[in-house]
Amino acid sequence: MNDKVKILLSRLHLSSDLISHAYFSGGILKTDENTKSIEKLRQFRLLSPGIRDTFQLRGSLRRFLNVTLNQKVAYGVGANLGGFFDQLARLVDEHVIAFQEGRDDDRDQYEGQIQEVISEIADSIEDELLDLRTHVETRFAAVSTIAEKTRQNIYYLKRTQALLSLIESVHFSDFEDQFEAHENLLLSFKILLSDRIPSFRESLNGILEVLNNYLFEFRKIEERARKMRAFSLYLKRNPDWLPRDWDDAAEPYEGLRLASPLDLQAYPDTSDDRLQEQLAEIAASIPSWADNRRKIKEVGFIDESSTQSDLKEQEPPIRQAVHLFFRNCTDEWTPSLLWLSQHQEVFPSIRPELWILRVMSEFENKGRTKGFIMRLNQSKHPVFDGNVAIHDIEIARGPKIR
Amino acid sequence: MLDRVLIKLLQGEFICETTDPEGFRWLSRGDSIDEVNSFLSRVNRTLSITDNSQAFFASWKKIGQEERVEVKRTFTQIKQVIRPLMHFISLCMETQKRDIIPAPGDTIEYSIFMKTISDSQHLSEMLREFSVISKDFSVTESSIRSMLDKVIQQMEKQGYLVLVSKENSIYRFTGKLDYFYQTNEFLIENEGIDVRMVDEDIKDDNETKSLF
Repeated sequence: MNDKVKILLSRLHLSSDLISHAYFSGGILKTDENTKSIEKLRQFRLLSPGIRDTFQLRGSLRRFLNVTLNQKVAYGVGANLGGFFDQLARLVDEHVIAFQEGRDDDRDQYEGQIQEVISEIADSIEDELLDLRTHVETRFAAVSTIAEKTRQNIYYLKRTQALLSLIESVHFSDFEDQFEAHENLLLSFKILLSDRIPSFRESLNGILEVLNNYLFEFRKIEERARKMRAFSLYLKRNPDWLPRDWDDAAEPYEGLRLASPLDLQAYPDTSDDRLQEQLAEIAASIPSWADNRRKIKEVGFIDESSTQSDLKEQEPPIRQAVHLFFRNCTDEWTPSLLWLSQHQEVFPSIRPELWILRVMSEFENKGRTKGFIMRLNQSKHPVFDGNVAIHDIEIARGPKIR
Repeated sequence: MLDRVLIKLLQGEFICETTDPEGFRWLSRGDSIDEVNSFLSRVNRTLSITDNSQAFFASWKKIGQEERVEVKRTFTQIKQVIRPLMHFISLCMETQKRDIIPAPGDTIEYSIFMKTISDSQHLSEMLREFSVISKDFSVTESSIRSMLDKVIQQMEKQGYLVLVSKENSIYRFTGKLDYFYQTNEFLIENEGIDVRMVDEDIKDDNETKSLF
């Protein structure tokens, strides 16, 4: 018996390249070189003929490789567990009869077969769980469209439910009663199968729950995907489309209530003795001198061949904005930040904090002498005592220039 | 965890599984939300979560005159990002030959993305269109690499993509994408964009494509 297994495995080893090729390519073409190997494998019933001189792996070997290599197969049928349980019931009956009739050899043979079927059932449930988990955890990654994923989800949902119903319908206690007088069988049945049933059931219920959630989620994703694709097409066909001013609504839509970021900075308190050690460490890590040697630029040259006469530097947007803002100011107070937000589309790159500083310095440098007046929109900070929060700077034309 | 999460929220960050898995899980606990909100409420903010619970962010608790200015700025930013981001989503879907829109957590492998675009004239053309859609995407050199780099850079800057493996150049979509989809859904519903009618157009579009 042992020799047969060894011969088979050594034959498989000699033909491993051919088997691997047939597995991954779906078949192998018969040539002068591989004819001998193909015939040997056919003798072992490991290859079956395909069309046009090709051969493919027999289903039993392919299924074994799929399970062993954990290869994902769409709509895998799984093992015929119901059939295994029927087989087990029949073998148990025959075993009882052989025992009662004193046919010891037959009884031993049935006992061996019963143990094989018990292992087969336990392994099949385990393989099935692994296969289901792989599909569930990868969210059916083997397929790319949402419709395919939904169909696979429904298929595996039914398969999980069927497996769960089967496990729940089998009367494990009946088997245990029949094995009562046969210690080895009872032990195998309990350890390999019946003791593991609660954990199998729990895993299956968990998978069932996830699959049910996916079904709901896939429907939501499908709906959202449909909307986004339609919206994308709508945008393409309406290049000038702009949304209405939803920001003017009395109660803006929740997504627009996104709070603006705060630029937070913290400094160490150098008077705090507890920080002395850490600050000393940081100080020690700073180089004692900085390389501030002046870099000498390469000598330039005048391109006399150039036909361009005058190159005028373009005015930076912030300067353009400041000039326009002061020109727009009337004798009414004009809040600078509000003005900027109203002109955001013309000057999108200006940051409000820079804008405030720029308006303030323009007022100090030129505005004041030209008769503009400024006031700060400020309040005491509600949390940080002793600080004043400046919300905006407002500019107006003073009495002299009205 | 509270201080770290609070600072991020105040700095305007979206906290999700991709950007801060620990912070995201911590916030997903009910009691953390109360803890965070008790601090945020003192500076007129509250903790919000996107429709599909993919990301947390800070939003205004009350909208006064000052906050109104910020609301306007947020909306301006949304308007500026709609077209390029929708175009990027279409590019991702066409590159991966999928009918599923990218979701937070999905990855982009730069090398594969780049090769697929380079091998297809249609996808290269889609990439070129970015510079027409927004000047933020214009590049001085018109090679596929420089155009794609610019697009990825902008998506990173806007907070929709994060580089998760520098070695293999793998990027991941953040939970902010959920916020973007949520906003688009609001616009579709409230702007009266008839999705059913557009559905028919997609069918026609696909049929026309299949003729060639």
